[in-house]
Amino acid sequence: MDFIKHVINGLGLGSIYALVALGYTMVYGIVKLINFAHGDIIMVGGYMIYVVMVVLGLPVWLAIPAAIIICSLTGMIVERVAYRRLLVHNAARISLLITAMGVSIFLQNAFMLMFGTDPKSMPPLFPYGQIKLGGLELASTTVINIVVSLIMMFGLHLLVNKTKMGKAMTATSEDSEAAKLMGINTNRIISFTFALGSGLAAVAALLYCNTYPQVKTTMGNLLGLKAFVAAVFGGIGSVPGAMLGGYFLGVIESLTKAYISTTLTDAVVFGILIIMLLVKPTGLLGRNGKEKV
Amino acid sequence: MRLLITKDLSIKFGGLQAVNDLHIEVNNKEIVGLIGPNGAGKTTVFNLLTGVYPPSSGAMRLEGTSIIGMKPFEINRYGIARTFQNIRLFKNMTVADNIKVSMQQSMKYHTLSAMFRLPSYWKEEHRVDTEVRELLKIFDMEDVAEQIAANLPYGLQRKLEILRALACKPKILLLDEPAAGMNPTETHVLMEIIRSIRNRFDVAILLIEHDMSLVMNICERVYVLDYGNLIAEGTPEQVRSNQRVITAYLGN
Repeated sequence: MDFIKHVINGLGLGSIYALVALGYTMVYGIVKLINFAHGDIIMVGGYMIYVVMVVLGLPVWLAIPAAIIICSLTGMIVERVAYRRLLVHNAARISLLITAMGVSIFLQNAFMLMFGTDPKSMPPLFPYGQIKLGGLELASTTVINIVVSLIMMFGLHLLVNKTKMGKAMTATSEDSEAAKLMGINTNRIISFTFALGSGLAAVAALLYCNTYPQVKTTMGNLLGLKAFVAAVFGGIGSVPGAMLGGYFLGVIESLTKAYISTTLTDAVVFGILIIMLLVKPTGLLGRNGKEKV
Repeated sequence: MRLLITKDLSIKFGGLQAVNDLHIEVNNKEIVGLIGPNGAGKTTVFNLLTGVYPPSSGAMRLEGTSIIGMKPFEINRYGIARTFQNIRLFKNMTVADNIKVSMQQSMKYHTLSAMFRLPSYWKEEHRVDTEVRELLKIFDMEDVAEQIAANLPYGLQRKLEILRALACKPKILLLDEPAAGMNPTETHVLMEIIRSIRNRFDVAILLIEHDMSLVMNICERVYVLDYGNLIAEGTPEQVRSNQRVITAYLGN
C-alpha cells in the first residue's frame, strides 16, 4: 500500500516535470534549440501568481489566466528579441544555446531587481485536505496536480493533432523549408510554439506553488534542469515522450526518497539519465536520427 | 492572358552566374516546359520564382504584381505552388494531413475558437475534410488517406506532392521533375494527370523535366536553358530541331 502511495505522490511531482518538459520538447522539435531559459519562465509564472494573489490580494482563479498570459507573452518576446535573428540567419546551434543561457541569467536578475533575493511565501492556492481512495490517503495537492496535468495534456493532444495550428507545427518541425513553400508563415508558428510551451510552464508554476508554497528567483534552475532530463529521457522532440519522461522522473524521485535516501535523490535521477542515454541514446520514444546515405 | 512574367532575371552565387537575364512568360492555363542539361539553372529558376533565393537583378510579376521581396509563404499564398526534385513530403504525417497543411490559409478560425471548439472550428474542419476527400478521389488515392506519407510507394509519393501543391489553390503550379524515377507506364499516367489538372483546376503549369517524351507530348511551349542562359524557346517541334539546343545536349 505504501508503495502505491509513493508512486502516486511521484506522479503528482512528475506532473510538474511533464508540463515543463513539454515546453522543452516542443521548442526543440520545431527549431532544434534547447531553450535553457524555459525553466525561468516557470519562475516568471510563480511571481505572477504571487503578485496577483499576495500583492493585489485577488483570488486564485484570476491568478491562473494572468500567469498564463504573462508567461506566453514572455516566451514570445524572448523568441522575438533573442532568438529570431539567429534562427532566420541559420546561426550555429551553439550560439543559440549560449543565447538561451544569457536569457536565463537576464530573467533571473531582472526578477531579483524587482522582487529582491529573499524567497516569497505563498498562501495555499486551493483548500487543503486528505482524500481517501480505498485504503489510500492522498494529499489533495497531489490529486490536483495529476488531474490538471492530464487535462492540459489532453488539450495539447487535441491542439497538435486536430487543428490547423497543430498541423502547421508538425509540418514546420518536419521540414520548415517545404512548409514555407506550402504557404505557412513559419515564424508565426515558431512564435506560437513558444507561447504554447510558456503557457504550459505557467500551469506548471501553478502546480509548483500548489506543492511547495514558495517562490524565489532561482526556482527555475533545478526544476528546469530536471524537466529537461525528463524530455531527453522520453526522447526529445516527442510530445508523448516528454509526458512519459516527466511522470517517470517524478516516480523515480519519489521512490528514491522513500526507499533509498532523501539526500541522494538528484544523484539517482541524473544517474538514471546517464544510464538511459548509454542504453538508448534517443530516449524512450525518440526517433532514430539515422539518415539514409 | 499573361500570368507570369520574368524580365532580365539574374542571380549570382559569388562569381557564378547561375541564371542570366532570363525572360520567360507563362499564360493562363498553359503548360510550359523548362528544359536544359544538368546544372543549367532550372531548379534555381524555381527557387527564384518561389522566393527561396532573392534575385540579384531583374523583375518577376504574377498577374502584373511584382513578387520580388515577398517571402516564400507570401508568394505561395499569392498563387505559386511547387513540388520538389527530391520528394519533400511531411514524411511522418498522414496523406490527408499533408494536404491539410496546404489548406491552412483558407481555414478561417482563430486559435481561441480551436481551444474552445467553437462552431467556426468545426465548420472549417469539416469543410476541409470534405475538400481533402474530393481531391484524393480525383487522384484515386482515397484508400491511402490515413496512411503515413513515408510508407507510400514512390509513385504515390510523387502524386501526393503534386496534390499537396494543388491544395494551395495556386494560379500557377511549378513541377520540378515530376517524372523522375518513373517507368514509361507511370510517366504516361502522369501525363494524363497533369493534363487533367490543368483542365479541372484552371491552373497554369511550368515544369522542369528530363523525360523528353513527356515534354514533347504535353508542353505547349518550351524554354531551354544552358549555363543559366536562355538558348531557345518555342513549340516542342521548333525546339527539337534547334541547332543550339542539340549542341547544348550533345556537344559539337
